[in-house]
Amino acid sequence: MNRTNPHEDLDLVQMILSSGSTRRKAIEIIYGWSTLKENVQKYVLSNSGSEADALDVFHEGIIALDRNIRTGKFRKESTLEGYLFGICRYVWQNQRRKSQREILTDSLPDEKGDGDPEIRTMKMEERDILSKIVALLDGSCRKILSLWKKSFTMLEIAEALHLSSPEMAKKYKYRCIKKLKAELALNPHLIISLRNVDSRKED
Amino acid sequence: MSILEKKIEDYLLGRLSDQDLAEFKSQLKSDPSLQLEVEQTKAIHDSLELEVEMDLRQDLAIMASQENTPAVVKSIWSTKWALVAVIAALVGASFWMFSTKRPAWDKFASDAYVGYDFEGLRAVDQSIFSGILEEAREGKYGSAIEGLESYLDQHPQDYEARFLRAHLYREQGNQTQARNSYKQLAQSESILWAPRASWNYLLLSIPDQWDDTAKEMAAKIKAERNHPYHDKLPQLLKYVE
Repeated sequence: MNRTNPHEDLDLVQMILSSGSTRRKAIEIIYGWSTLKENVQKYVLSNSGSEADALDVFHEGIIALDRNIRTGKFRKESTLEGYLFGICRYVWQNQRRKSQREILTDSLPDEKGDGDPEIRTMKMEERDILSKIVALLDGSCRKILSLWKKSFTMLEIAEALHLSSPEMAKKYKYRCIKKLKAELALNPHLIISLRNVDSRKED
Repeated sequence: MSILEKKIEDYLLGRLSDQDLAEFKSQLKSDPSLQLEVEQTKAIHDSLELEVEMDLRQDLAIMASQENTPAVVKSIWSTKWALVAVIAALVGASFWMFSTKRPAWDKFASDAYVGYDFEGLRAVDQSIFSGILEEAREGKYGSAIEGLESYLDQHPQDYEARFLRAHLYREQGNQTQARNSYKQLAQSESILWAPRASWNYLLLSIPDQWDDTAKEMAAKIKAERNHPYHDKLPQLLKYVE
């Protein structure tokens, strides 16, 4: 891999931690790392995958990278590129494990500092339950909380939703969370279902 | 946000100091109501995270499709389409001024329709599709559809291509074939294209082709709260009842 500029990596991390178009720009830059993409493809193809699988893996890798950066799990011990490649390898290995195919052979050299990419793999069941939770929200609450989760500032949220001020946006966000908690209290089966999924993970 | 709510959020996001974390965990062990509060907050954070993930997934699909379009074609294409859009806007405005009022259901069906324009091809060998897409853009729907039919003979599981074919039938004015194509795709196992196909099938069924298939699809969308078109369904059903 030919990218080793730590300053650019720091910039990209910062951009992902920002909101809106800045974050998207960072994702576009990462998406344009053609050497990485080719290496991911080579890895997947040499381990019984297809080109479509390789692109899926690359996308899943970027999604996991974005999440890990926003949640503070990316510890900057390796380059972003190396870290992302490690994630993609893990994603493909995991998919292969699930479909119980033959033993993998690594055909590409190990990237230094890959370590454990701390990928959280969600079962379809968990995703289904979480989708139902989001569906408890009305349209405007869903929009506010979605923007908040993407690290939009209250000012940006106020502008996006034509609210009078950032303080109003903050108030709305708080009300929406409260509303959702009230809905969850009325639908306790959702939390119980999540609890069951979690306990099966630990088995 | 209360101090407790802030602490729960910091706990879930790994922001507590070692000492605070130890204290919080100890509190959590002995307090069932705090456990529930933490579970609910975590569920909310995780569900919103899933939304972020889905949005990013869509963005990545768009980036994948844009990557397959050469830059020169993109810039010529965007200029050409800008001109087409201006002319279309002028023609549309004139037509609106001088024509009789368009039925409400027709406008709704048109506005709510999910066309292929907004989606992109995934990791498909672009050489297969470049000719087909070019013909589609030039309005040569018949040739484009023929090309797609040949392709789909070899790759019947390419749901995106099947969606494109259905869309081109509609663009061609062949409502019957468009409905049939969307109906078949709606019954496939594609997580991405089947919901869109079922929605378009319903739109093409209003107001007077609302058959048993449409009723079943609508019932399914109504039952699935997290279906992408669940919230829009009531509006569509106004044109059926």
